[in-house]
Amino acid sequence: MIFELLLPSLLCGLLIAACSGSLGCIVIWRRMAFFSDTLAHSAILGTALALIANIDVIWGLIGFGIIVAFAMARFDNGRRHVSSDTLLAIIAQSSLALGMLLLPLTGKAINIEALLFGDILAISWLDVGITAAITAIILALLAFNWPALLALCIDEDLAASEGINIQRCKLLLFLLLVGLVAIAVQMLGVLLISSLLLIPAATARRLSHTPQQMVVIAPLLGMLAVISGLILAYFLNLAAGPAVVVTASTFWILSLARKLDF
Amino acid sequence: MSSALIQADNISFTANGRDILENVSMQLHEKEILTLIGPNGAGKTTLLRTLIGLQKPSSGKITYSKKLTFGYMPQKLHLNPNMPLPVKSFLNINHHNQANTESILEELNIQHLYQQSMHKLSGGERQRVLLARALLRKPDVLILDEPAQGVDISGQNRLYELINNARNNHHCAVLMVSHDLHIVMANTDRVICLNQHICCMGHPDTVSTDSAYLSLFGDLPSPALAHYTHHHDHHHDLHGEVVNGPHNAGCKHDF
Repeated sequence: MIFELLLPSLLCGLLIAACSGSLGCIVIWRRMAFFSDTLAHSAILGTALALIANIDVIWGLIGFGIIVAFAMARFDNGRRHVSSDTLLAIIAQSSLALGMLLLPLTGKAINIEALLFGDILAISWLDVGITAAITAIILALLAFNWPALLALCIDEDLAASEGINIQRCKLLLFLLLVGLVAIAVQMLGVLLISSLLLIPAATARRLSHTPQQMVVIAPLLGMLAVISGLILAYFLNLAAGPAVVVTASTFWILSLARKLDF
Repeated sequence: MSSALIQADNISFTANGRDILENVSMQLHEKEILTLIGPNGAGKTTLLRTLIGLQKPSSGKITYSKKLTFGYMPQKLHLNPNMPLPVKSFLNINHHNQANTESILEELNIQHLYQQSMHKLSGGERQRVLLARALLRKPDVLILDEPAQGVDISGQNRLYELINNARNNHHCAVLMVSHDLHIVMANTDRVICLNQHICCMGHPDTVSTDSAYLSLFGDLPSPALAHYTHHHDHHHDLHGEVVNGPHNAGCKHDF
């Protein structure tokens, strides 16, 4: 009975971990943590806008996320991300605050805590279907563009001189992150999405010798964290999202025991 | 003019209200080795990047004889330690065929580095790996931004020999920036001294005949290096910084 209740959450969690682990590698390679955090925070405003417009929240997240992604791709056109951290923090905090102001105006009962930290019990089979479809798209685009994205992560100038369209790749990365945020908000909440993006990737770094290994190990670690976290949450009656994240962090701490040998 | 691979006409580049390049016109010919020298901030890297299309000039025109393949070696590779990166992965990004990779590794004498991590290479080793990646593209033009920077003097000799061999073996033109105002690769066909505009152009003298070089390095065998004597008419100090002063006051390093 309870297993049936948890099964959709478990499946959603595994799908999210598959996306966030592999995308997370690229995020830490390109030092984009601020970018992904900004996209996650802007999801509050996306949710509020969707509720006001009376459309499904996921379309609001994707629609508004795409706008933010294009804006960020425009700002990220220099050779280095000079002082873009300030700009990103402004976008992140402003959209968080504006979202909070707008939410009461939607006239709907909103569980703020669920929005910030996730609510797995609200996940339905329909959500699993949507998550699976978006996951498939994200992973396919990643695989298809892998050589270009890897070259971009190593050195932008070198990649550009080899004929790779840098701006297109950057925009693609932002759009993939938008997709991830859209499917992960319900489970993890806007505050915890980045953790499942960064922590498994950082752990995988210590266990890998090639970029290919890392991009396979990170999703597996994320999935392991999802399974163990949900089991812990079930037996100890904990909040599921935070339990998953703390499990992932524990893996990372354990990985520190291994000496980094490049 | 007909054999020019790249022809730049009056290109200028302005960034944030500052002129980086002013009316630069130059050609790069087939199989030629052309070395760019100039003080810090002279626009050498900007000129390279503009010539290979990484950035657009503010004005002026660049024409290519055909669709050229560039083998680019950036001045510095900003590797992120968060990415595990063996030399093997670095070279195989573009799925080159294995036989070609092996022959280039052998040519540059870096077979032993193939399984190593990029993060653990010395300056000279990293430069040779970068050169290998550039050559794997079967380039028409090798674009090298300060290839000998951070490499000791005997390592520079070997690197310059490898670059010269690469030109001969792969029949490509070489356009490089030298990190030194006076010392260039001996096989350089032409030297362009750049300081926003083109200051002077010419052939390098050989090391053996240059007393200034000999007094600096003694009788160290350096067959791959040459000295370039400037013939332009304004001040730079010996560190390459431009000294504000009247034109036609003579160039301090014209010794």
